[in-house]
Amino acid sequence: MSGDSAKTYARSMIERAKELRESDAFAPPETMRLTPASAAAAKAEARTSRKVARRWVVAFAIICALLAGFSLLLPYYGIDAMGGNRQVYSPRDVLACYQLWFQTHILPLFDPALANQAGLLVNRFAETHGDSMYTLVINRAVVTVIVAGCGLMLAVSGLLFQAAFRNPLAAPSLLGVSDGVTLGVIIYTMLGHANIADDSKLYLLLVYGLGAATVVVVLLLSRLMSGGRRYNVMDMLLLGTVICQLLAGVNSFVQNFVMDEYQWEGFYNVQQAGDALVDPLIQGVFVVIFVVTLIPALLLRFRFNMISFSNEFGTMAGVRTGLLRGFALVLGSAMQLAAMATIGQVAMLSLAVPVLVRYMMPADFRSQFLGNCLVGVAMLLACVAIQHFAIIGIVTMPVGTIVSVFIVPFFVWMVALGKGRW
Amino acid sequence: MKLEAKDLACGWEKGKPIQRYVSFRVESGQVCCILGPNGCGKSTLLKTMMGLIPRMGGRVDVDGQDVGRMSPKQRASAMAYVSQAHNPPFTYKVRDVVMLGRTGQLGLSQPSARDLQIVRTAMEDMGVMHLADRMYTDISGGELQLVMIARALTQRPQLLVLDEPTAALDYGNAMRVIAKVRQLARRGYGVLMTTHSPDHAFMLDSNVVLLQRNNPMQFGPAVDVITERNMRDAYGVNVETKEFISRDGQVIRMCAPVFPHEDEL
Amino acid sequence: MAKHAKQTSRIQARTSGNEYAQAEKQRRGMRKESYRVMLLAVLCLTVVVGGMLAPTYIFTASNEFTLSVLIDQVSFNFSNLIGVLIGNSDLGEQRFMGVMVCAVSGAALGMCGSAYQGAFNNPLAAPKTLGVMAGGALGALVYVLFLQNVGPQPPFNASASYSYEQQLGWLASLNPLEWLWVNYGRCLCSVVGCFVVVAFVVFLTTVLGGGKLTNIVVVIFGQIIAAAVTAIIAFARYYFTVDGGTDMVHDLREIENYTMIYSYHFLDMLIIVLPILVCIIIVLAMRRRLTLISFGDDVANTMGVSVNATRYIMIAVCTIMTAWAISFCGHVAYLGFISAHLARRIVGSDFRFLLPASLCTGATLLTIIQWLCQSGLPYTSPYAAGVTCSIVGAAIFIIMVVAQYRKGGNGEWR
Repeated sequence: MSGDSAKTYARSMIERAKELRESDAFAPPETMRLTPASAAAAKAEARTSRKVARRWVVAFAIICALLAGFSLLLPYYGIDAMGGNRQVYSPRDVLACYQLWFQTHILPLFDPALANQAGLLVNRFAETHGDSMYTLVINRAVVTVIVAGCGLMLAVSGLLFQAAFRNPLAAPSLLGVSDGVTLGVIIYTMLGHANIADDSKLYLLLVYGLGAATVVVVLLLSRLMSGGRRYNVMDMLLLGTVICQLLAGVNSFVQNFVMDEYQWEGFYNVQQAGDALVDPLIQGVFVVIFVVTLIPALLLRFRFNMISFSNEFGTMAGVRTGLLRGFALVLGSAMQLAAMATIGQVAMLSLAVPVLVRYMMPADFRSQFLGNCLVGVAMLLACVAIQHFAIIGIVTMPVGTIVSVFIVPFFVWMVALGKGRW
Repeated sequence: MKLEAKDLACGWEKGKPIQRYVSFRVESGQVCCILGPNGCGKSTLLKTMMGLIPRMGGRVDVDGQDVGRMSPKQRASAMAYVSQAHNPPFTYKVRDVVMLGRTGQLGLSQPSARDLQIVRTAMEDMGVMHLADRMYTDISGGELQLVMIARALTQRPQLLVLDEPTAALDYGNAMRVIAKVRQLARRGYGVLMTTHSPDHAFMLDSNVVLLQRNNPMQFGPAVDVITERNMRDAYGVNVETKEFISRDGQVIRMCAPVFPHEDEL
Repeated sequence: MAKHAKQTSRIQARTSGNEYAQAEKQRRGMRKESYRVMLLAVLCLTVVVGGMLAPTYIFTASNEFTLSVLIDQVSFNFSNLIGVLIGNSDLGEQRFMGVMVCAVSGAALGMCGSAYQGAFNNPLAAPKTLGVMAGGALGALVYVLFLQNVGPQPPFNASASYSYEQQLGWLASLNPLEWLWVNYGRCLCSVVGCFVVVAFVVFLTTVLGGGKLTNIVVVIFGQIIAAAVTAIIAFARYYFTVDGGTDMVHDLREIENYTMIYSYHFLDMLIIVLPILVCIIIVLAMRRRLTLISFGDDVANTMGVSVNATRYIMIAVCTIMTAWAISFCGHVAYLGFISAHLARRIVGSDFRFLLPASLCTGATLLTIIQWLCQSGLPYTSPYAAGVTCSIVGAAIFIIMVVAQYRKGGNGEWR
């Protein structure tokens, strides 16, 4: 090519390039184009994920039903005060009790005429089956339901704490709940009460009050430590450990040096909270707190994913992460407090179950929430069922001990399965 | 949509601004690259623009409204941020990570089929749909970056803010990300990003904010700002910029460093 | 071309000049952390020596050892002073042995605290993370329940009065092994218990699970096993309290309170102090390697440090130290956590300074605690070492919190 034609060629190419650049049509402001094809695909996806979730729910619901059934229906051991006598009720008798309860409580709601007959039915039942069976069985049923609720709350509170702190050493009792509760129990015992039935109102007041007070103190002090209006998670962790240790020290000092033997036995009794489960006031408070804490947790179960990420990530996604994390901790503490006041010190469930569930299910908070609810219920019901048999001499093994020991083989299994993966 | 900074001063400690009198704007369909040496405040400026750090002077406006006064939800629907480092707390699935972007819009409700559709579209736009069911920790750095941009897209913002999107990526992955950013700009998104390479600014045909430690900032189209003199002042590197036409008719501009000859040392 | 060269050479000179200046600044004096460590060491020595001289029981009615008596004895005469310290008088020997045990155990616990926090890379890691304390309690429980009446028993029962010479005579008649068992049986059982539990945890996770020792799973597993053991112990205590006799009750309640930090025999001190000293020396020798490891496994490997071996050795040695210290001195492992944090606030995270610093803080704290316990303050008891430790630790932490708040908050963990 000659020099001139080369130059014109180059010039035309440059001009053409400029034209191309300037004539690019920019897309309209609607930057993401949603097509019907993707809508259909998304619907199919939603359907499959629902199916998968349903399978998990069904599996665990079966396990929980089996365990609850064991607690409620099978040959049923009742232990009276001297520890030697065991009453055995056959499944047919127990079913008859439930039938009676249904007839006297549910049917009159639909047919008021039956309400008058309720007393007659109960009397007739007492004649054939004995005086105390009906009340015992129904009480036991209520206790089983409450125990299931406790298991749920313990596991979910553990999940909330682990998601918020992202530190596996952060047990949910870290903010001081369990040590505050123990302190409340100590004060209750030192005031002269040997069991909860004595003065359940005082027990409630002391336990809930001191547990909540400890959490508030830890939160306020950690705010002080982080400087100003900020809440730093790491500071909360450290401060919580220290305050827990302080309370534990005080508790142990009082237990070992100040209490005499009777007080110590009374303290142990109260701490197992055996009669808390059957006390109607405590049951009522538990149900109220259950509803009040679980509904927000359920509604926020997708949003709670954000508490595991940094504040920056959350804020830029449009979520007030700090607030959400604080709310999660408050919810977790409230749940743990209610469970501990009702069933005693069962802290290991809150630490171990979330770890197990995280191993089994995807890390999304919704799946974790579901898994923890179900595994928590199943595990606590199982441990309470074992407790029926774990009687040494006249002393029943406390639920906390059973849970702690029962968890170990699950963990060994989990560790062995994950061989080479760590 | 227009994100505009007027005489912005930014920094971490009160009374010690790192940069002052920074003024520039990003509009829909434009890309704006922030260049500058290490420690001159690129990331600081970015975070101040988004309202994550309180500013020390001047204004930052989104369509006239002050960024600092917007609620997190409003800001999230205007801008989406992709940070430099990604530390996953737990092993989420890629699909769930991308879904996280919808959290701001959802409030108390749970993700519906429409949210799934948005997530799907975002992942298809970024070309990471085939990774949907893999674990977040199992994918490569370049794929991770694209996944995080997809997550930002699910917020349906008008402006994307990327902090060093190609840092720690190999050449292929970096170019893949740059190609996607070009596509997004052509679609109508505004993009504000920091980068350490002037070539990226040329590749994206963007405006450039050049920050320097002791000289005032410069703002303008890449051809005007990335000059030999400016590069020498900012980085202390001798460069020459060259423009050529590729075989299929595109104008390609590059900036190449010039090293001294051996015998002149 | 020439201008080019002049510019580049100017740039080169500027940068190398900066580096040179910085290097020079560093070489001119010791780093500020070294100063702080030395200061801490001086403070520690002062406290320890002061502990030997300080009067105890000053708040009780019977003031055999009041300040005036002490001053009379010492009367500002240096040879007298040294005599008191070495043990030429009753007062001196008592105080010297007890304070030595305290100082060394405290130092061991403090150092273990820092080492654990570094090894597990977790600010909440404490010497009890792997279940050491639970194991100690288990060992003590087993001893009290089953082994107390095993081995040679004194030929006189507890209620009859016997003289000191009688007791010495009987002790002298035993062969060395029996003598060890009679005097230190409880502590040795405690140590064995510690090892058993820690070995169980480590075995399950590393051998069975094929995992690394410092993995998260080990930590969780340690907590779980520790909780299980603690729960069983609590239940066993209750059961045997209800079912056993009054002697058993007394013994069981004593488990937590047994401590030897007031011992005043030279041999006691040797047995407690020597193994711990050996372990301390080993850990101090590995300081540099620990710092390198904290930068990352790969970095350390390329620098010639075998990461796994170092970690295993360090954790093993620390466990031995902690087990020995808490078996003989009571449940004061929490001290490790507090003194590690205190040392970190003072000298930063570099292990070359952090380990000696936590040594000093630990020794100081335990000496102070021991003095507090013995001083007869209301609501303290010579046997409540663990409790006083928790309270003092919490007080120190809260002081740190307030100091941080005054400084403007947001102190960093690392």
